[in-house]
Amino acid sequence: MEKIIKAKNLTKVYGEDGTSVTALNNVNLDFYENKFTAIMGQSGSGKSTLLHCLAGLDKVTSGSIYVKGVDLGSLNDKELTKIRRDSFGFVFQAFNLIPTLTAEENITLPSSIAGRKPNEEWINQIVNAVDIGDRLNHRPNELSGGQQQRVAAARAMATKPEVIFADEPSGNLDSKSSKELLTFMKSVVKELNQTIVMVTHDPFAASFAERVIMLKDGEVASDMEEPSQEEIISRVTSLSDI
Amino acid sequence: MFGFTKRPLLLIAWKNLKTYPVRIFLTTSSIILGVSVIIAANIFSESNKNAFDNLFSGVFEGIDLVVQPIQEDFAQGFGDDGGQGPISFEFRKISDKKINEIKTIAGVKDAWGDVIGFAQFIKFGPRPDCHSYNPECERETILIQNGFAPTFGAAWDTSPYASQWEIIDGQPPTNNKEVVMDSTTAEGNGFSVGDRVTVLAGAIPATFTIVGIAEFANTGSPGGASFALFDFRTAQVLLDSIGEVDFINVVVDENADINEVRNAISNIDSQGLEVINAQEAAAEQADSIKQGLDFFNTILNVFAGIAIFVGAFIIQNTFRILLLQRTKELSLLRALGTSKKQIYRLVVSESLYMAIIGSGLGVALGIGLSVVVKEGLKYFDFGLPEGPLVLTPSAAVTGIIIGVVVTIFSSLLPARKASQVSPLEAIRDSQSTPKRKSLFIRLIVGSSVSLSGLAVLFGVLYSFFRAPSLSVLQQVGLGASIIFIGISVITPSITKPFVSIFDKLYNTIFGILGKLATENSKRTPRRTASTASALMIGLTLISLANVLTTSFKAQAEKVVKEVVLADYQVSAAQIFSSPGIPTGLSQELLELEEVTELSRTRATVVGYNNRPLILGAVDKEVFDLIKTVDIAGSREDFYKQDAIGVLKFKADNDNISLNDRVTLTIPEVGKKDFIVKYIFDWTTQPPAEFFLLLDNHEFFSNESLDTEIYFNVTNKDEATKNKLDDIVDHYPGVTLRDQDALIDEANSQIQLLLNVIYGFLSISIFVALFGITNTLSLSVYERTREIGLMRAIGTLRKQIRNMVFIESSIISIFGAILGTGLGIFFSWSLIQALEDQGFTEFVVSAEQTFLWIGIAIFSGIVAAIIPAIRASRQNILEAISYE
Ligand SMILES: Nc1ncnc2c1ncn2[C@@H]1O[C@H](COP(=O)(O)OP(=O)(O)OP(=O)(O)O)[C@@H](O)[C@H]1O
Ligand SMILES: [Mg+2]
Repeated sequence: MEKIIKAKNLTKVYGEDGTSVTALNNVNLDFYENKFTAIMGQSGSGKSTLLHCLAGLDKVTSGSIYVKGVDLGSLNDKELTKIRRDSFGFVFQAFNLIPTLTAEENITLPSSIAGRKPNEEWINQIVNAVDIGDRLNHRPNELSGGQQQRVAAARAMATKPEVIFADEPSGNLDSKSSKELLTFMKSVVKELNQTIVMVTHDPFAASFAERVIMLKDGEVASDMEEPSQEEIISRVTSLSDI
Repeated sequence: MFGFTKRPLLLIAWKNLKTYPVRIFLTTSSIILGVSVIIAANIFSESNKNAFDNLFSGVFEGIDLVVQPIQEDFAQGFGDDGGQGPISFEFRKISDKKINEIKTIAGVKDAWGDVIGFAQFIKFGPRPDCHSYNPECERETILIQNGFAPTFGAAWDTSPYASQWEIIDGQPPTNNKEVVMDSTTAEGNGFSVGDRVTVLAGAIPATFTIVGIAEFANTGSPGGASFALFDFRTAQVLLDSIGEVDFINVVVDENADINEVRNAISNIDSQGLEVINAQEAAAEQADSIKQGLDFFNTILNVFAGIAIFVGAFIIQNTFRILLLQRTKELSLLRALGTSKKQIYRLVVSESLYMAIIGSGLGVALGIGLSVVVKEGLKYFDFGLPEGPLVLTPSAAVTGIIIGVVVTIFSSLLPARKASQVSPLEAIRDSQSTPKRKSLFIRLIVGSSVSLSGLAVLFGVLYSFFRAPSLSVLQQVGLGASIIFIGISVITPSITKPFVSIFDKLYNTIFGILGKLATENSKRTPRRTASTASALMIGLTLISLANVLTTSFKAQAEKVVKEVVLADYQVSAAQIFSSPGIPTGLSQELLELEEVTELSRTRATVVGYNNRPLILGAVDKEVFDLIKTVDIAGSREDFYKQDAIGVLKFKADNDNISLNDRVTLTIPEVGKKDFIVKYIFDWTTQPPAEFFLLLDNHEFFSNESLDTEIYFNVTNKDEATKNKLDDIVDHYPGVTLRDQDALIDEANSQIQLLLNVIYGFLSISIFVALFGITNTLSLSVYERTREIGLMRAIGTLRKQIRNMVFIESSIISIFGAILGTGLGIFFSWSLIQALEDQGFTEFVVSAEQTFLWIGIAIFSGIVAAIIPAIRASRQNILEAISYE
């Protein structure tokens, strides 16, 4: 398996001296291609911060992030933006879609911005997989929350990115929709050879992943391969007990 | 300790404002501009009034009584239409012997005579349109004139009580080789004491030495007029007043009764002289000029009104957007138990604070603006008297009150809407969606208003409906205003269809960014529409001004071509003050072999039915050189000795018909009878009302001046032109023009007017641009999340900026096209309405139209710069983080 993202001695401090919060403290992690990784931890443990730093949305305080060997710290805003556009896909917890664009336009938005023609065959494949083919001409406010998140997932994949970052993608969904979305994400990794890094605090969601990283107070508390849901729950409990 | 405040809402309102200075600025910008225009207009007119008051009290300072000759109605009435051309007036004057007679009257401290007449300084130098390296230019004669102000010659008053003029450099004139120049002219043209200067007084230029520079009542010269001040005897000779004066100033002893002295002076010659109280006269004269200026003030106030009107649109818009942003906060207040009424008051009191701040700043800006307007008018050669800028307290208060009232009124609707926010909003995540229903109602209401406007307008143009007691023009104006209001009501409901027209185009050119921008402007049609409306007002007025001027120019060109058949026209350069064309010029021209046909026009004032009337004399050739229309009688008969020709309008007015006998009182000849043999129409500005053949009448040969000369040449080429110029250049104050030059002349006057109008209208465009900046800033603010999301998934900063620019261009195009369309339509209607007065030309200049649409779009994009930059700098994480 090829290493796609490497975080080295990653530290992120928010705020000034007096009121500073260390959100990430000397984190070292490698992320591999074609793998579904979940990042877990209690609220405030630094999950979102880690994701934002890995995706080049936020600047790190010290340490470096290498994407396919390229140091993100050495890039300017324009180059970072282009990496996000061409190599990354995003699914956020809410407000993923542009309200004035239809589902289809939202899915092809990253290619449109890049001024490229979307790969129709590929998009058809994804659209079928997320099962929203009949809703393509609807605007986001005409879609259910679950459908919206699936459209967002489809958008995240539309450009065949190297990595898809998802922050609590199922956080706003009921258990059925949530299961559908996660199943889809898992199948995408298995069948379409995608790579996903997902933040969640839900052990059920995390159980879909092949690897689960746990954060505590900005540090990596554990790193598990193929854990079962029970293993995850017990680890979460043991971490919160301490 | 917890503070308890009796008026918590006022406090919240104030805190809100303090927390968001940008918000205050955005909302108040349009109040500031509107109020500043009012204040500037006011300062400007007050200052002018003040300057004229000073001027006239200056004219009569230290003088108690003025003795004038009684002018019969002579100098005033010229009939309705005639008398544009230079006429040799027969002003009555007073014999200078009367001065000593008056001095002997008991109670008179001193008396001195004043002589005043036309005189103009001349300098030699390169003409403004001539490059200085061209040696030919040096020989050009330039008549010095300060703007449009008149040029005078006068006697230097030697009485110790005369305090009008004060020497600031040098000394008074003492002999017929010396002159004193007013300081405005001296400064403006680089003259100083010791220089030689040529003065054109009467028809003969003569050269003098400047012995002094003088100031009038502490300003350079009255109203910017140029003054050549000679010693008394020289002035009498030069200004055609030998042995005479124009009026006599009298100073009365302190202990004498002014009315007794006045009566005593009147008794010298109660038939020929009138004695007036100088101070009363000053007030009267100042008043009459101020009335003339009122027209200008009205225009200024109209522009102020437009600015305020545009401002009200923008204020309302801004309030609405600001409140939309604060829905959550307001609904929280509601949830906490604040009543609807209290929310309403909260918003209104916020607007009150803003109104006060904005109006105050507006007053300050207005002072600055008035300086700009004043300098601007100077640039366009609008000679208005010099003087300090005056801001009266009442003007400042009026400005502030108007600003406050307009702002509060504009905030009422948004405030009502805000007070209706439900306490539940705070919990819901609401999206602003337009209400289709009310847009439909708008469409219906707006269309019916516009249709009734159209009915009023077309009713008068196609005569199927006449509003009682309105003139054609007034009815067209009324119709246009109703249509305008109707369209303003409709705009929000046509925003979507309008923008949809551009969808495809924008999608093709700009791709997804174009799509996003068009969708954004459709999302809030009201906001888009009211922002565009502000621009629409400006462009309606601009295109109205534009089309009217191009049409008027076309009209002028058509008229000149139709009416002037001669190759060349010679006229006095200054229509009002120069005395005319010395007759020597026509002699010289006739001697040229190139001149084939020439006609002279002369005029004099005669009495007819105890009224003054302008009697003209022409050569036979005039009928070949100027278009005239035969009404009755024949030209052949007109050439006979006792025949007289009468203009149609005069014949109609006075019921004169062919073969009637008319008796004229001619100054040099006495009473003389003529028989009406010819009634005709003079298609240009007629130089007189009655006409004789020049060669038939001796007394006209004695007149030393022609009013106009028309002539043809064998070959209208460069060589002929040079020959003609050589002759004409020897006659200062006289201009030679061919048809093209006459057209240019007319056009440049129209253009000057247009430039002034543009100057004022651009203020309304400027206000509208603030509106665009506001709307876009707030719309960017509203879309923080959206923009953050777009940035997160890889949209470049540049692309975000472009998206805002594209959106702005849509708003501007919307406003510009609506405005231009309305403007063109309104000017078409106006010209239709003016058809009776001979207006037939309706010309829309495509260049001008597209130029202004282009300017509007470009300005819209400029207005979008700040919001665009702000949008592109937005913090991505803040935008996507979930609250
Ligand atoms: N912009 C910011 N400024 C200051 N502190 C911040 C900022 N963003 C996050 N933090 C702090 O950094 C720490 C980690 O925050 P982060 O958002 O990464 O947590 P999280 O694990 O995603 O929590 P949750 O599960 O609640 O989303 C927290 O203590 C948080 O208060
Ligand atoms: Mg988080």
